Amino acid sequence: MTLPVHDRFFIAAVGFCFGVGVASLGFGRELFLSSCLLVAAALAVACGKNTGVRRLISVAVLLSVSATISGAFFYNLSGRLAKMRTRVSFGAVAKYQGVVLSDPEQKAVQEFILKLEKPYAGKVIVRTQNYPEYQSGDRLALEGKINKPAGRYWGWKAKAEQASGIALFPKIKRIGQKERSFRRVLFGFKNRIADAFRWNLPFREASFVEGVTLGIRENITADLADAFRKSGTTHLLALSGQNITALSSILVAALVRLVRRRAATLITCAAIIGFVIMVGADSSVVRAGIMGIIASGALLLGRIRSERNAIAAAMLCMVLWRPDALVFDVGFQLSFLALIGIVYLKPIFGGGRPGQFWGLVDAAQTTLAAQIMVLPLILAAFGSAPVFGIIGNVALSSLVPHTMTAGFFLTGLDVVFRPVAELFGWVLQAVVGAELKIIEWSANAFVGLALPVSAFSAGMYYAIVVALMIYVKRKRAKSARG
Amino acid sequence: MSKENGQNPRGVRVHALALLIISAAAAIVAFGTVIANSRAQRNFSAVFLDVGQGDSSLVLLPGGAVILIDAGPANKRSAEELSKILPKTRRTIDLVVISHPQLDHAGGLPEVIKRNRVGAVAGHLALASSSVVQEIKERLKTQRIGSVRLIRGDKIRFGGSLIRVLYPPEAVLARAKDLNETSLVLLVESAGMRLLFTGDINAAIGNKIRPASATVLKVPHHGSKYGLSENLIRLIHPKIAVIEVGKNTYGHPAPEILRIIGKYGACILRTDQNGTIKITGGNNAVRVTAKNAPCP
Repeated sequence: MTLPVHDRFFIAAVGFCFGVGVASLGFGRELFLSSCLLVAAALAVACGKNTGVRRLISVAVLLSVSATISGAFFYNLSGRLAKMRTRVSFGAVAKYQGVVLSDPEQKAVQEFILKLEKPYAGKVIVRTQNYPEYQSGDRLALEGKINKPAGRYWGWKAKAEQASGIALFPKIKRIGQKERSFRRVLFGFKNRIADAFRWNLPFREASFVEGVTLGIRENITADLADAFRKSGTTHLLALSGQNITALSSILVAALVRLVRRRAATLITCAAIIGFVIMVGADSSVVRAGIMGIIASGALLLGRIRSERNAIAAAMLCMVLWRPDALVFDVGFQLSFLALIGIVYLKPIFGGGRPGQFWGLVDAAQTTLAAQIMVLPLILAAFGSAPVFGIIGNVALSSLVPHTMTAGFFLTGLDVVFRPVAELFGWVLQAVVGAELKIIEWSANAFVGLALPVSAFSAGMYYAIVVALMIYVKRKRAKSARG
Repeated sequence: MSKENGQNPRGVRVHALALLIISAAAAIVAFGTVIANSRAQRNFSAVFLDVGQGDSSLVLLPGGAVILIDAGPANKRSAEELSKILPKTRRTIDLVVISHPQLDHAGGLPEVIKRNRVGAVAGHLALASSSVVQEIKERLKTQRIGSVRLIRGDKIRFGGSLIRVLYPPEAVLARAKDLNETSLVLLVESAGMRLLFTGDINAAIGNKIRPASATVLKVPHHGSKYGLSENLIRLIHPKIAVIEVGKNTYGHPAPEILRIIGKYGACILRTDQNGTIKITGGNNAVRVTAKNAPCP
């Protein structure tokens, strides 16, 4: 009796991520001691009466402990390597050069990530005036102070962006452009799409469409952001599986008319990667992109896809790329928790017929499952959660993919012939206006649940949820047998 | 009822019909809006936009002309507020006047141009070489928007409305060291109302311009103590004084300016307290629409 490969992968991936998480929180010593105890227990079990099940359990424990320790080691090593790769002069006025890495955000000020060039190294977050507008790939000469990230906001932002410093309003001069910048091309494409929205739709409607299509939030006004929060629909602005699915569907449907299905799937995978980079590679869209590619890969290879392993693989890839994301990126946490809720909690609601009541039943179950799983995190991160958030979500979840499709269609028309795009924009703004009204009505019906959350209470909450899931699943299995 | 490829044909037809009905409804709403919006503006309106620490005012003339005087700072608020006021299916500004090319008056213009059809831009952009002015010039060139130069004595006529340029004279443009001193001062006369837009002029310039009267005064320089002259307000005796101001470290509006305005009985409206302020008029009636407006 041996542990199957897919189980071994799952245990190793989860163990590794657990190790990274524990190391992120600074519990390295406690982890090491607990690991030693677990290893000792596992060996004792393994050396005892040698039944197949006991051997399996001890192998599983040894594998997970090894993976956990590896994860913790990886986290610490990556931290040290990042420090070694960083050479920044903090606090004093200095001259330095670098290349703009991200697509600059334009709000009341302009903000972007700069990759430093020799003699310095590392990344800094630069904040400056709105004009001139910089682009990814621009080479800049700067003069000013670089400060260490201080305070909760800058500390978390720097960790999420893997930046070592913050430069506020330095003197900047553009000195050139990086040759053959792939990101510049992608971001240019994204901005062309956004420009089509901004020309053909009024401000609020354009900000909504660019949010749900491209993940651009810089134009979401304060009152609209508040409405999103109160209606429990902020997640619509975090690109995720729904967006990747919509994009894949559009591409595959268009490509299969031109090439074979296999080639269409491969091109779609490449397009997903490009899309993820183009929209800024936030945690939720990277997670969705990885899972989309795994799903396509399974289809191509004719293999059965395991949701459990797909989630574990996506988490592992994310953690390998951004070790700090597991603990410090709320978007990462929300994205995975919501997905776990949809995959494991939703089925216990019974599931209706596909398309029942225009898909509203399915949307309600999906929303409820996701909201149950993310509730403690929402309360901890934002202080309150909307009690009736399900209403706005159910109404919008079926509209948003169509809005995204319509947005891309609008861009296509704008490229071909702007006057026709303007006509289509009149129709689209009526639909988007209705979506915004739904958000505002839901926000007006806001009843906030505000509860203090501790690690213990969150742990108890999830233990109850998991116990409930297992109970319902077993009861159904028993009914099905009997 | 047969199922092909797992799809229920009746379900597909119902779905398609619903999509058609929704699209038709959206199209009717959209085109109905177009028709409603195409009816020419009959009344005169001036809207002082809440853009924070900066100036941005929209003048809507009877007959449909739309003029934006200043575009506020580079915080996109001007574009956002315009979007709420302009017809959704006709986001056109016939003329943008930039009183002077400082950041709190011209900073919002690139975003306005990006989102609206602009007929022409008037102002003295050549006096400044800041990055925002470079950006504006670039956009005017790319989008082939014409530029107009205005000096004292110029007039803009549209139907029964008239806009007079009271300041600056050509000589000032040649020698001014401070951009505030080059501010365009406009007197808008329409539907029996007179509105004086003063940019960031100082008291000395205010003493020179001497218009006969004005119903509404846009207080110079966000209510700075160096802006409004008592002579000017005594001369024009406005009913309403609008101060376009936001959070700032300059002490705007200065208490002495508020005192002077109050002394002459004008109703004071401030964008930092009253938000976006709309003043409509016609047949000697003036109506104010603003949050917590102290005037009727």
